[in-house]
Amino acid sequence: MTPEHLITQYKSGHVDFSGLDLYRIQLQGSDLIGANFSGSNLQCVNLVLAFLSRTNFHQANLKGSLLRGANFSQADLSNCDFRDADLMGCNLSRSDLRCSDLSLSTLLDANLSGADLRGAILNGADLRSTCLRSANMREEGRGLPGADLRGANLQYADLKGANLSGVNLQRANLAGANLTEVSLKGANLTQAILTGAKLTHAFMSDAILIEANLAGAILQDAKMNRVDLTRAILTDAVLTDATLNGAKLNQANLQNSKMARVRLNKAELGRTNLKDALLLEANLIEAYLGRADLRGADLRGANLIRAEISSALMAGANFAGATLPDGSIQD
Amino acid sequence: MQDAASTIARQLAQDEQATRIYKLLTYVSEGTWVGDISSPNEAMIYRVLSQLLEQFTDLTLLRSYIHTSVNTLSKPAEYSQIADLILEAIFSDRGGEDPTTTFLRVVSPPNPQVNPQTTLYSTIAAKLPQIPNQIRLKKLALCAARSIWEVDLARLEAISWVDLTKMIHQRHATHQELKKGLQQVVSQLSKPVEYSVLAETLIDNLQALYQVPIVQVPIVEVPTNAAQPNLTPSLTSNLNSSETESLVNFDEIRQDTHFPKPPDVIPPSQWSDDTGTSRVETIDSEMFDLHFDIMKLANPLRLKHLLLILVNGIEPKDAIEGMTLRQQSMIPLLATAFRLHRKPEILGIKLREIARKLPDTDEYETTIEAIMRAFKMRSASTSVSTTPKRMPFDESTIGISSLNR
Repeated sequence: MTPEHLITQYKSGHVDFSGLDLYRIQLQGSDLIGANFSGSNLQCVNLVLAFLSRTNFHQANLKGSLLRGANFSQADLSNCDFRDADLMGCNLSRSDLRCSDLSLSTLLDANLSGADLRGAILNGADLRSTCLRSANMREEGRGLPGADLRGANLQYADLKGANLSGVNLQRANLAGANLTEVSLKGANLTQAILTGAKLTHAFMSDAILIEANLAGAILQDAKMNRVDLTRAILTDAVLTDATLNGAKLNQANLQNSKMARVRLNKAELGRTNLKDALLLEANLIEAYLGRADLRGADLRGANLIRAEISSALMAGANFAGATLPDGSIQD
Repeated sequence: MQDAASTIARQLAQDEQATRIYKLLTYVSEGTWVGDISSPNEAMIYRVLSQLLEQFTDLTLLRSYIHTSVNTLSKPAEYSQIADLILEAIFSDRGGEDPTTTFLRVVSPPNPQVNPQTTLYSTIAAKLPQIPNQIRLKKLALCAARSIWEVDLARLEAISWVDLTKMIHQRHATHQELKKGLQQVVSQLSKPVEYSVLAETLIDNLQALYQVPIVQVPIVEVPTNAAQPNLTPSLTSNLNSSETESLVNFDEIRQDTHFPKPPDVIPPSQWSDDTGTSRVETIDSEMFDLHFDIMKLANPLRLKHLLLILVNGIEPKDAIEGMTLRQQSMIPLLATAFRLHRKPEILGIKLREIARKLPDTDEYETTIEAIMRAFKMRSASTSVSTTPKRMPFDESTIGISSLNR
């Protein structure tokens, strides 16, 4: 089918183009709102700046296609093959991208707000500055896995309020990203880069952040119970009012971090670097601080009841008004 | 001195804890941990003991150093007793003071005969074996010291941390130089993420080479009026080159470097800057809200075209097809545009001028309207509060909002 023939048919009211072979068809700038391309072969097509809202591309092959600036809002893009596709600056808001393969695709600056990305494969995808507000990528109990974002580049992406529970973000780059109010429960962020990321009010309980880099990240009031931050870098991070009960922070680097009123009850802080950290009124009940480095740390008013601190380095630490492991209060 | 070491070594070799004594002596004198050793003989103990006694003619300093080293071990309680055994033998040989004081609070100024540089290397090197991923760490350190990427484990293990510390110090005159050197090495590796963590650890641990007084670390509590040793190493002084060359024969080490491919995970922007934090530009949270507001109506690609021309002043053709479209992402561009163009009316005129030079001029109008509306709203809200919010304890490190700069 030629592009002209397709456009003519569409203009005459025909919208069903399902199951067709439209390989390399040139439809840039076309208005095809509401059309049905499900199951079609659209490999290497050109749909730059096309109007495609409310279209149906279910199970379509769009591998290597050029889709820059196209408007796919509310489109059904589930189970599509978008591998190596160029979706730069696309409007994909409220689209259904469930179980689509977007690995190594370019989604730079795309609008994915409210999109359904459950089970989508996005490993190695370029998602810089994308808007993913309220997007759903969570892992479902009934066979639908969370989105696969391993090694994806999400620098400066806006994920405010997105659901990323159980998502695989291993080695992903989230530097400078907005993760405010995001849900990352049980997500795998091993070796992820989160430098300067904003995680205020984020829900991250049971997340795995082994060797993640969170230097300068804002984690104010974040819920991080049982989170695994072993060997993670949290230098200059802000964890004020955050909850990290039962968290694993062994060998993590929290030097110069701000952790006033943080809850670290029963947390594991073996060999953790807490040099010059601000732990004012922090709760460290039954925390393990074996060989932790607390030199220069400010622990005024902290609660250390039954905490293990006997082997910690404490030169220059300020414990004024702190409740010590034996229950006594430091002058 | 040798006679004294010989007598002490004989005594220690006969002790039932001789193996642990030898391990600890090797650790404190050479910075390496001996794993498999069953029964060290007198000569072995003599060798490491004499090295240690040569380094420390001041016994108070020696005692402090040994206990500090013990505290870096995974079994400090057990080895504290071993340290006492060693010290007791040394002190009894000298007819000196009670050596069982295990917790020093004041350190005497070091004897001028002590080589501060050697002691510093040993102190730093003593900590490095405790860091996980020893093999990778050593590979990285060797590369920083000699630009050799060694994969032979036996050869790597043969190089002591003391030697590596010395070589790194010789090669990098300043801490900054070392940091840059390691960054360069990591950027060329196929696993930059893993190695960047280790590089930072190495940088942190070697910081003392460039600024920290030598015995600052060992002392747990030092009264403010206590005499502080002044042993800051000279940045310009070098060790005898023949001395370091004799430590390891680097000619035998393979010169092939294993830098398999260029970095594909961490761009240079991810590297740490001078302050140890990421170089990523700090973007105010409000910029994300502004972006979201614009995106409700604007086409993201057309928005990008306009911003690229507005901020970078590039040709329209380049904005649509050029590399900059991929290289730069929207959020930092938007933040710059907002900082530079605070008056929506003037901004509107500029954007319409830009649109006239672009194909499909009319298609940009919706996007321009969306930009102007969002900028107007945001400017109004920020003009109400012109001072940065300050919250207790935390905001000082977040940085002042770019809107208020």
